[in-house]
Amino acid sequence: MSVLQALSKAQEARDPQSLITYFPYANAIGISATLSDGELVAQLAFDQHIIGDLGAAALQGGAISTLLESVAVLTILWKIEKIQMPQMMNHSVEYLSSGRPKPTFARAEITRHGHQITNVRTIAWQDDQSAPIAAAHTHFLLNPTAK
Amino acid sequence: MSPPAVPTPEQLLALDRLLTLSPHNSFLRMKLESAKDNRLSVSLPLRDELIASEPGGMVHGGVVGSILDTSCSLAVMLRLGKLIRVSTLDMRIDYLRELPAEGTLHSRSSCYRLTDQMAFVRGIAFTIDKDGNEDKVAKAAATFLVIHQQRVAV
Repeated sequence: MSVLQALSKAQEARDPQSLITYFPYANAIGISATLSDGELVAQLAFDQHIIGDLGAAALQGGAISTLLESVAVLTILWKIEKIQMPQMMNHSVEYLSSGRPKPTFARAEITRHGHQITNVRTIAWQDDQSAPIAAAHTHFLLNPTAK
Repeated sequence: MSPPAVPTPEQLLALDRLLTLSPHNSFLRMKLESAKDNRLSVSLPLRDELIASEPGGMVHGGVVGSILDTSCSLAVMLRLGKLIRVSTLDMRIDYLRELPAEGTLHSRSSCYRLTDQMAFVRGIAFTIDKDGNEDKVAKAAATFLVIHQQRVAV
């Protein structure tokens, strides 16, 4: 079963976590997904292997960026795209404060969904959603034809 | 302020230690390849665990982002000539093509402007084909805050 076939089952069960097995890297670094007030929320569990700077006990920016990219893809699939995987074209992330050794959450907002391009904004936070630790905007190409 | 063309063996060792001290870099098996002439290269072996989604088998953008973040931040320290804490303010990555999970991913970064507080860095990620040519995967532009008060111990 492909991720897109698994998608409708996951939506019936309202269980986005069942999709994560189709995302090996997200799974490997400890990303999970739940619904909160009907919105998809991804969580990056704290683990030693996502630390970037031992001295400062700060999460690696790349790990936070991975969480933001993952929640963007999952949200596009969950809300819109039932036929194909979106392909990421570019990703622009701002780091607002350093990630502490604790769980990190993320959610995505689709700002525009066109025929070819989907624009997504994402934020990541730890204790307080109104105080994000990182924010990104990301462009995805749908119907990628230039293969 | 121009950086030394070739870091001392001690500086090179310190950059290498700093890279491997990061658990996330170790998890991704990153290695410092070279550091000279204001350019710093890091490599990473690709493997199935790094795949974004099945089926498809292409590497997750986050892996590319991690190697670029690491090589760009170390490129700042190469230019500084010492280990000072730097903090990524922002990074924009253009994904130029999809990346199959085989072979080795390389990145090369350069700090092209350094002020008292800020460092401006660009980097590319690429693979090397069988003829030895670089095949670009992604381009990054990043800015870092340089925190002079905080020396990094390795």
